[in-house]
Amino acid sequence: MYKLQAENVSVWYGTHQALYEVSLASERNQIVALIGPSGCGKSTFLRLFNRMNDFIPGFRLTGKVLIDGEDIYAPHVDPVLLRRRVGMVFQKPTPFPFSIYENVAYGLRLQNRLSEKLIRERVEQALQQSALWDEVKDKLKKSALSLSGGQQQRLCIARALAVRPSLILMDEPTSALDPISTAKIEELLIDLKRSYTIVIVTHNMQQAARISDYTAFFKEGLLIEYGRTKDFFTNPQHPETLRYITGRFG
Amino acid sequence: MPRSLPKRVPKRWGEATLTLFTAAISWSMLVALVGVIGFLVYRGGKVVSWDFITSPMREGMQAGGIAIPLVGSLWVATLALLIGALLGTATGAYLSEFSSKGRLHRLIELLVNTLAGIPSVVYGLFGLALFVVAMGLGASILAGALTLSLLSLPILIRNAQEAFSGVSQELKLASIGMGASPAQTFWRITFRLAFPRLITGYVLAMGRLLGETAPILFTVAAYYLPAYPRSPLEPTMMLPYHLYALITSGTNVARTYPMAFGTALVLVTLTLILTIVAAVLRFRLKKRLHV
Amino acid sequence: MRDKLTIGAFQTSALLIILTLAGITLFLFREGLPALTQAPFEGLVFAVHPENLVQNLSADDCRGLFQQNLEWSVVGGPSVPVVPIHLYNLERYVGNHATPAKIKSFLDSVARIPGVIVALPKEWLPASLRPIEVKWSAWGSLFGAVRWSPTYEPLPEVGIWPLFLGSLWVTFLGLLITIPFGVIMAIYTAEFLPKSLYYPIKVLWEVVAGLPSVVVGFWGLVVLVPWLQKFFHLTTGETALAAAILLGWITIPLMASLTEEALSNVPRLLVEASYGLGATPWQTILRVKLPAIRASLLTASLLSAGRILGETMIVLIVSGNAPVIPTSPLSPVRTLPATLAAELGEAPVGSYHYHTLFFLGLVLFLLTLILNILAYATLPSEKST
Repeated sequence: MYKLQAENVSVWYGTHQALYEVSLASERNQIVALIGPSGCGKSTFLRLFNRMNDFIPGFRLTGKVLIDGEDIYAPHVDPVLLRRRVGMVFQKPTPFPFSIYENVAYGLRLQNRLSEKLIRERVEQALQQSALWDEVKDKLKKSALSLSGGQQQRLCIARALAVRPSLILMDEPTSALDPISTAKIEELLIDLKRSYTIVIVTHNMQQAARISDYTAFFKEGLLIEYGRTKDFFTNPQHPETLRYITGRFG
Repeated sequence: MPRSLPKRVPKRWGEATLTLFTAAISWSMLVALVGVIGFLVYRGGKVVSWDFITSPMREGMQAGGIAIPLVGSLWVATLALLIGALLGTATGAYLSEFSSKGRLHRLIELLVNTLAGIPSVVYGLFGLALFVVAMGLGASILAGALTLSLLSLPILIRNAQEAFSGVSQELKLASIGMGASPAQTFWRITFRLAFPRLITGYVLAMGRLLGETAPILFTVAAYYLPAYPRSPLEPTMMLPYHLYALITSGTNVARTYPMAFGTALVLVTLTLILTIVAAVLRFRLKKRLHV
Repeated sequence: MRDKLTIGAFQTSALLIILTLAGITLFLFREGLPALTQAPFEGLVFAVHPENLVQNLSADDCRGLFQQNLEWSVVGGPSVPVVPIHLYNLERYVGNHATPAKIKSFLDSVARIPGVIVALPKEWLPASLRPIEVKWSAWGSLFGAVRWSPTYEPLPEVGIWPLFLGSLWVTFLGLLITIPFGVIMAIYTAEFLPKSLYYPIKVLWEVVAGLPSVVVGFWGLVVLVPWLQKFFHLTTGETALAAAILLGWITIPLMASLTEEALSNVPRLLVEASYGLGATPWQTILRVKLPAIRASLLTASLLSAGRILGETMIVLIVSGNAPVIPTSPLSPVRTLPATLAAELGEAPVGSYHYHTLFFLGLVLFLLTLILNILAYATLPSEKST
């Protein structure tokens, strides 16, 4: 069974169509990169998986979107619960103006079911998984806003990890960061692949080539090509893909 | 916009004069304010003392203090603020966070703007017809507080709306993305972060409510009631109306006028403090966000 | 889920807004419209000597008789002196303990006076007196009369023109102060004020706008009114001008802040175009910025007008409270809100006076409603927040 799957998905915002019959699937513990020029629909596609598009007025979808074989747009599905199983990291780090500890614990507290002891354990685990623990373990009570940009983004990743999602969505997570922080996070993602499935939107093709297992190229709402990253960049099937890749390299 | 102009002197003196003129006009506002407040301090300062504030009236209204109207005003205004804050904040939350921004939203915003423009005396009429007469509350603290709370709704709704909208959209989305329900996001992020801003609105509203006279005339204020109010169903004396009564009583001007000055000074001081605190807080918060 | 509760509570509260405005409108109409349909002397009947040939009178003529400045002959009656008797001053004629027998005998004796006209409750009409019909035109009394004397019994004068014109007059005079000062202060604040003083000056405006109007009125009474009296050699300084000065002053912050906001939002392109052509700051202001915010100026003026129109206490204290049609800034005047404040406490609930006051309230409400609608209609196209 695929971890995540899209079957002939088309998306409209009012009368404007953003995605045309996209089909794509991935097994678990992979990193899938979505690339393409601005406005091609890759962010829209990403957000299908945690139903964040629901908030945009006029949003309409045909086709099926499945996680673990389940149609997440079925009428009985509660999007709130869905989002607790699917984590999201945004382009700009968005730490809450609370303490570091409270940021990571935020998702854990939503259910009201975990003891403080358990919460503390999970917070530590999450911070370790996102390679931030050593840097913040002595100042957990300090405001999250006192961290650097790269640290804040890792904090957001920890925050998403704390609730143990099965799928993580990332929307250009390093485009607002400096190269060193970017490198640290890329290392992190490769590490996280062992336990999580990750879909990452990136405008940086080198990043896609470096860290992903599969790459999907979107253009103007169409999925032009999707394949194993190794083959994708060395031997693209579609002339458009070739044009895009060579246009950006060098 | 250039602030330092190249100095080409002869042709620009017209400009400088105009600028000076408008500066003078603008600062005359401060002069006027100081003139009014200063005069009240001068004439009222002689009368106001701790005793004045804490003791009830004696000899009709010609001696003693203003404790009773002061307590009455605080009672009514506080109750009004509580009711208004509850309703106003809830409505503001609806408009800012939970409405589908469609026709109903626009209708309610239109109505809020309309209510904002209705004279306070018309609210008094409404309060009289509804709370005092139709609902049978009689002239009472409750009737007055309900009337005043309606009066304060437009300010409080707009304040809450701005406060909630001012919380960064990214933070709200981050919370939603983590699986917080809209209500959870509202309480844990939006409301929590908007709280300081909300408070400044409440303080400002309190300042306005304490000074209102017209709506309380027919719904709660008593001309002379030398006892502290014991229940919300009783009428009570209130500062603004007490001042008015002193001004128009005419029976022993030599003795009532000093009382009037004292009352005016206390009333304006209360209002001043609340207004300034609210304004300063609000501008401080604005500055912080723009850093 | 608790979610639904929260959202439901918020939605309910929003609906309350609709209820409130509906309620205000409803009650004003409910209590005010009877002024158009009732006559002030419901339950009363007017009667004259049986030989008096007059069959009916207009309310104004009847009042003229009662006030004794009209002769019977003018209305087709006999040439005898008018003797008005209104039952409320019955004690004057009968003595303090009026028993039904005493009243009856009093009325019978009165019925013998040729020129008598009596106003009395229907139940007490004796056979010895002949009732006449008095026509009360609600419309004519409210909108056709120029005197306001609502407590005069049995035929109050409820012409609203003095109050309406008084309101308009004070508003007009007040705007003469508010608009120039407000615009000038807005220009100064938006263009020339050092940045560090921006917030302080806005605080200043908020403070002035927040002053309790009863306190401002009091100051006006003690300082401004005597000064006006001296300066203009008047018998009293309580005039429309006094009210206008004070009202204009406390409304300046409203005008100024709306205008200042509009000035700051003038598109940069326009401003830069002007400077690019070598215009000076003041030329830019006068020729580009002010014309660009014409619509906002109108909106701000209308809102300020609405604010002044609705103000009560300042007018009540310093404008002299004379319900006559104003002829100059130095005449005393009475406005709609002031009338409501002054008289509502004395009018018994449900009486004609009560309904008339609510009618005034309705007029005031509609006036400010129109002003507000006009103000928002002239608002320039929706700015995104």
